[in-house]
Amino acid sequence: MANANRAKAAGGLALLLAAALTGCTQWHYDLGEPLPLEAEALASSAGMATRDVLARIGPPLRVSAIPEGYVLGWEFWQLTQNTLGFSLGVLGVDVLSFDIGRADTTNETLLLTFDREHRLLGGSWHGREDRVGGGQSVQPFIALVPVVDVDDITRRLPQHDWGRAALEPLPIGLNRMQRPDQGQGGVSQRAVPTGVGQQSLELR
Amino acid sequence: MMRIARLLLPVVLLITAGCAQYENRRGVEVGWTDDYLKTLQLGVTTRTEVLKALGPPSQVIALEGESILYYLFERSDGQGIVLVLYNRMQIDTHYDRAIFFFDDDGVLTDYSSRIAAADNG
Repeated sequence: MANANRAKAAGGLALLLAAALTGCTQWHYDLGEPLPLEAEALASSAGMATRDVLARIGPPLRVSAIPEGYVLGWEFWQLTQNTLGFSLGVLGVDVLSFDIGRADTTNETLLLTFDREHRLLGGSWHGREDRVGGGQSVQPFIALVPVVDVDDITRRLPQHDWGRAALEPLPIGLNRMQRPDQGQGGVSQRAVPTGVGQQSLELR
Repeated sequence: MMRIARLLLPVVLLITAGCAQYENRRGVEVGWTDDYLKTLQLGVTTRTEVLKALGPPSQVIALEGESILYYLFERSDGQGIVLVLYNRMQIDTHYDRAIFFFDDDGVLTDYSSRIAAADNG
């Protein structure tokens, strides 16, 4: 009888310990505001004046000159990152580090091209839901490797770094005019890889 | 012993629970208020006047003689609960912004602005 009680107590403590070391962490990001319903229709409203477009959907988040005129870009992202693990990660104490994580996004993007007469030449809209990453890990004592990386999605808009671009290390600084975040070389969405395309010469 | 374990579980959860809040502000001062925008006149207001009123922009874009001034103020507000078993952080990022188009003579041709709802409230 005493052994049975002892076993029950041990089981209870094990349950308590497991509960205390297990955690589910959810990060949810809203980046910007949802685009208006008419955004999709605007993409095929060639000839519309810039003034009318701005009056309908407000100022863009991304702007760049192009040889024909300029492009304006609008974006909205929702990102949800879920992590389940035997850890107290959010408290900074990862004792047992077995983690499973994944990240999902919902995003809308509108890109409009205008000529030098400030008339809409054309555009593109898309909205989609996507899984942007995930993974599992078993790591001793400390979770050194995150199972989900979403930094490229949540980073600040590039306008904040515009004046600083000339001070970047050489491969990046020399490529300044081709970068899609400087206002003269086109625009790019969040999470575009830098290893290919206009930024491949930056050798990041 | 079992009773102690049962009592201990909510106590442990209670003493390790917490909450978090943070805010992050980046960008230029939001000077493009409704009052200011009412003073703008297309074809009359100059780039110099806008720069004088709003200060240096976040970005200047050259358009073969024409130019664009872009102002951005980015703010993120995060709130979270830490319950050990379940932890959640919600981060909302808003972009207050204004864009001004100027012709070859530096005269305002178009503009648009947005200040997110939280600031208006």
